Amino acid sequence: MPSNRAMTFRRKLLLFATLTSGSGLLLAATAALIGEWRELHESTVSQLSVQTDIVAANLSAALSFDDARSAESTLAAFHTDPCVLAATVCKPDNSLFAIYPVAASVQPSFQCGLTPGHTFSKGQLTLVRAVRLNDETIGTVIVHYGLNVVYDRMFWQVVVTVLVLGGALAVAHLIASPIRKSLLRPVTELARAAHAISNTGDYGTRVARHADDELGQLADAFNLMVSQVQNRDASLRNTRDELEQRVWERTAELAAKKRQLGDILRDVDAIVWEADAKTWEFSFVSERAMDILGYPSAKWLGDPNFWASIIHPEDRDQAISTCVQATERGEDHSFAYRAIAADGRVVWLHDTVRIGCNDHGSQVLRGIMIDITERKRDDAFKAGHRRVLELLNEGRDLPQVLTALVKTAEAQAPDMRCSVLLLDNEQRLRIAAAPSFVDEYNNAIDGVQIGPSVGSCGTAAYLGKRVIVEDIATDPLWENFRELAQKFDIGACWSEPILTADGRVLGTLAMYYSRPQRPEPAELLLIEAAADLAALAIEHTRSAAERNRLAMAVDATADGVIVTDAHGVIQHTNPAFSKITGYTTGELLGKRPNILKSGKQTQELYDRMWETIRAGQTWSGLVINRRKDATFYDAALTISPVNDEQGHITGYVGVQRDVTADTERERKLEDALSQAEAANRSKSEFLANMSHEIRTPMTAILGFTEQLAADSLSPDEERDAISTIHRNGQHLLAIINDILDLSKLEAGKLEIHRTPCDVMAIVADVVSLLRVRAIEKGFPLEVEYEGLIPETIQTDPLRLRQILFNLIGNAIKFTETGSVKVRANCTGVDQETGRMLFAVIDTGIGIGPDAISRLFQPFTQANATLTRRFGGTGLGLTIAKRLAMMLGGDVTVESTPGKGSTFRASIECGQLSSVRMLTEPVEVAQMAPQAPALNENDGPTTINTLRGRLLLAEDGPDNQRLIAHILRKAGAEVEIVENGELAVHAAMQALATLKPFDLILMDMQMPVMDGYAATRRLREVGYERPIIALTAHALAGDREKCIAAGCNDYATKPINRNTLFAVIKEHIRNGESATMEKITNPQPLISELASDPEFAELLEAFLSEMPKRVSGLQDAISASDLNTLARLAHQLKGSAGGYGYPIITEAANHVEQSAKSNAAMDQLQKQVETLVDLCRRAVAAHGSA
Amino acid sequence: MKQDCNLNVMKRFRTSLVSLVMACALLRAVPLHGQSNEVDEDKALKVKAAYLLNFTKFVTWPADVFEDAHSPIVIGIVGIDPFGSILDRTIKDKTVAGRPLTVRRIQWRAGESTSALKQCHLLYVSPSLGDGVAALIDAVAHMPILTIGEGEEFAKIGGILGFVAEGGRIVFWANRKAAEAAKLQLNSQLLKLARPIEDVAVAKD
Repeated sequence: MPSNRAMTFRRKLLLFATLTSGSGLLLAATAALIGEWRELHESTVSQLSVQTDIVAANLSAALSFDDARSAESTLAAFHTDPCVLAATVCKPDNSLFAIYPVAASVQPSFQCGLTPGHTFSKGQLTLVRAVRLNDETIGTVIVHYGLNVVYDRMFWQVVVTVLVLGGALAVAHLIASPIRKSLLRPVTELARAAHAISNTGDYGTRVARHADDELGQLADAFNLMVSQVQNRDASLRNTRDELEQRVWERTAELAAKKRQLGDILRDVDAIVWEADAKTWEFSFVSERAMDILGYPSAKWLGDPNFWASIIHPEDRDQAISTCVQATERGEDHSFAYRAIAADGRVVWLHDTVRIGCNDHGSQVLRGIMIDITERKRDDAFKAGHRRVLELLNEGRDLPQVLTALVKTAEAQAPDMRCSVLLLDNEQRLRIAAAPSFVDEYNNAIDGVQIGPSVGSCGTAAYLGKRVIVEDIATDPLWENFRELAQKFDIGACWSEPILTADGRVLGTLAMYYSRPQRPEPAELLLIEAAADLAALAIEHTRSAAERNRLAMAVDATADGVIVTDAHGVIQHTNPAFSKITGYTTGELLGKRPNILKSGKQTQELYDRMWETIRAGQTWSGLVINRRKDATFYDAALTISPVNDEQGHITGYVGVQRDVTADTERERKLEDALSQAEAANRSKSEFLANMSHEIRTPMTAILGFTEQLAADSLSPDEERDAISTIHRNGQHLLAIINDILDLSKLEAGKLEIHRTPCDVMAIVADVVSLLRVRAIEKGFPLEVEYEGLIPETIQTDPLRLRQILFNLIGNAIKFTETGSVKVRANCTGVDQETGRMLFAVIDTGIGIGPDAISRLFQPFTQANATLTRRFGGTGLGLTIAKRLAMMLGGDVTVESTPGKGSTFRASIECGQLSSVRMLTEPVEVAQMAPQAPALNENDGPTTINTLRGRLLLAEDGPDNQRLIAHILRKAGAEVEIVENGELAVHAAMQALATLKPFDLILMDMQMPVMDGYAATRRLREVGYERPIIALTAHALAGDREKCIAAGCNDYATKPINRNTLFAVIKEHIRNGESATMEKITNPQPLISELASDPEFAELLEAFLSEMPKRVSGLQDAISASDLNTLARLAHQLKGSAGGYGYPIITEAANHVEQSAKSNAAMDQLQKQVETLVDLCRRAVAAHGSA
Repeated sequence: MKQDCNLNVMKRFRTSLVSLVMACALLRAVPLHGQSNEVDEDKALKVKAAYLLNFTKFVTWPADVFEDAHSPIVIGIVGIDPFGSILDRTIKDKTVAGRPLTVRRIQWRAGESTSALKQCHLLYVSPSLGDGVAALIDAVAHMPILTIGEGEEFAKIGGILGFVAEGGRIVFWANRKAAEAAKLQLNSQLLKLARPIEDVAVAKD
């Protein structure tokens, strides 16, 4: 085989094709065979596994029940696969259980104890599977599988693969041959073409393209290279031609630019120049020099001294030195100077100079001269104008201002004179400013009547139009004044009328020349401007004078005047304003009027004020303002806006008058009136309440009297009724006494009788009277003396007693628990008059801060509801305070709501120096509170005319008892509540517990919640049972009011029994029987432990004791023996729960607690009844079981 | 009270102890099937006990007979218990489909309440019941209870499975209709091993 390098391209291609396809095929065939081998193994194992798993599953029962025959018949399923050589079933103890085929002799290799899985060995596949039942291995199946069939299949696979490989190689060789040819041809052609080009240099030669492959691309690349060489030659030639063309164009452009520059230099309105820096000889001057100064450029260029020669002699030295110095320093510079033109005119030039170099390297100056003559003149006029305005501003008088104006005008032209003439009321001209004219001329002119042809000025003023007379000598207007003009060397006169903004003629401004002259436009502008300025000056001066006069008037008025600008900044105030406010004018200027704001007005008022005046209207009103010294005053204020001609607001004027005294008077009148009204109202309220207070005890008295008359009462009941009548009578008397006392006090008719009296005896007396009340309520009343107490004092004992009685009685009334203390001490023993001080300290409900202020006022009760709740007239404190004041002292109070109050009373007690002083041990009085005796005693039912359950809502205890007594006697069951809120609660609760009241008797006037509110509330929540109103108000319309609140009917107090019964019966008829049924048939109470037989005996024992306990409880409550009651209840509480009666324990606990805390007897009675009822029910239940 | 309570418990305990001892004595005193060889008898009992356990694996009860997935399978022995402690040992710590097994011994006479029987899932009916066997089969015929007794006759009169000793092996007869009436599903493999009893009526309702 020839070496690689020597091999032809053809052979290389052939070898490459054969090797590539051959090795690829070989690798593919090998991979396929290996895959096939693996797959055969795996499929065999999985196929056999499935078969074996089925058999194993079917073996579980045979193994469980030890049935070898059944197992063998299951194994026989393998006969469908001839490849299965043998199968065995082993038990878990590795003993052989069954074998397949049955005929086959047991071979030694068929052993038990193999682990589940599969193995290949000796041409066999051995598969082991466990037989599982209920997660427990109960045996194994072992299968032996012959692999001969598998190996046969593999052999045939190899043979086929080798044949296919050989065939594939042969085909590859055949296909390679034509490809080889197509590859070789283009390469050969390319080589031939390259050779030809290098020999001939003909770049036009191209190679043919045979295919789109890489060789085709090579041919394309070769062709492209050859054509690029060809193109480059052509483009080099083109570039040379283009360059020549561009040089020609640029030359033409430069020539055009040069022409343009020349044009600009000629057209620009300035002299552009260049000169030698040393010699100042001009090397260039633009053509404009001729127009501006009148010198031809030839004059400029020839003479080094030319520039200096044309400068105005006054400016020459300055201009030259400026230029020399700047040039020496090498600085660019600019300066202005006057030059004399060829025609002798003076021209202001502004020369801007730069230092530079010319082409030859020598230093040159280049510059621009601009004609600024006009601007200079303008500046001068503006300065004059400014000067005139300054003078105006300074407030100079009119002739002075106008003279300055005239002089300014005259400065504009050297040979011109100027004058201002003013028109007076008689249409005559008056000299105002003519400083360049002699008096003789002025006197001749002054007073000339204007007319249609009266010189320049007279005509101009008459026509209100400018009059230009260019030549006086010929103009007809000057006919009458021509001589005068000649005399004073006047050749021309131009006159401009001075007009106001609305076109009124004020006078004329005139310019005079010695020779005839026609005005240039600039001069006309000047005269017009001067006339305008004059108009301004005249008007300003005149209005200033007017303002002055006004200001003087304003200053003289008595009202405060304030003037502000449109932004509200103060411009002016008058002395009266300063007098009202206390601010000087200096302090006010520049401020705003809001420094007067008092803060007592709403912002809304100011907003409305500004809204009004900004809209251009006048605002008037009364405001409270603040002076500089922070005092307030009432101002009647009027503010008007000030408008200019266009209607814009330029400021505001406010006029105010101090009306404090007037409003104060009005206010006092109003206060007095409202106080009188309030007093009247209070008195009416007071009377209304008094009538109620008087009527309440009256109701009780009348009611019980009726009882005494009508019923056969027991002696006890009779005594009780009489004592109630007596008590109410006493109460009535006390009320009437209080009212009388107060009336006397009010009328100043109460007399004071001072005598020496024993103060401690008085205190002890009052305390002993009131202590009973404290003890009844269950708290102590204590008295303490601090320090030394005089044996006797000088005072009115009756009134002192009254004061103390009121204060202590009051304290007891408002205290529920805690204590009431009276603390007394004496001060000022060594002074002329000593004082006794009494402090009454309680732990009651206290008084809110708002109520304290009204506490001592007559006819004003702290709280109407409270008073009613605690009884009394509510006048005690008022009376006490008045009395204390009459005794030279006072009554004061400190209080914390909910904690208690301390009332302090002081009285004068006269000279103490000769009185013996005593020490009193602190008295502590504390008696064990007694339980009040039971008042109620329900006797046997004698009259059975009323049945049902009634709720009585009534706050007066006497009425409670009276009404309850009547009703109970008639056979009704009555429950009592003392206010509307409790009534609502009780009614709803009864409804909820299915023991509703058949009827509610509702007093209409009750504390906490009155009867109207309670009835409304009940109806709101859907309570539908009858409610009967009870009211002491015997006024017309009351019935309607009750019905409107939701009551079914109405009964009046004092109670008329027959009427009441009739009303109740009418409404009770419906719901009586069912209610009664429920009450009389109690449910048996069964122990929770009743079902436990072991408890039966104990329960029996417990219940057998029960009647004894019940009677014990009843005895104790009848005897009011609270200790025994508490003890018995305690025992019952302890044991009942243990026997399965928690409800009895609970009830017993209530009784025990109430008995220990001395609760109200009727409450206790009810609790005992409940307990006894429960006990009886328990016994009854047991008996029936 | 408390003392009384303890006393009661003690009494109860004592009573059950005595009855247990008596039962044991009785068990030893009465031979089964008149087999004299105690060793063979013992072996047969072991096999039967194992069968009782295995039966639970091949029987499906209606789902509602168990309270939950872990409620035990209760094997009841009615009449004199021939197994002694063998059955208890066999089922000790065994679970079937996650359920433990318990053995309950029940004294039952014809006409008594079936409430105790009802709580069992499998009842081994001891031949000591005599005539009571047929009554019991009648009583539980429609309850989901696998009844197992002795002899082909047991299956023929409506019992579900009946043990028979045959050539030193214990085989059993199965009454498929009885099983169907009891709403029990017997595994087909079990039925293949059992001797089938056909055309025998189940106890009527």
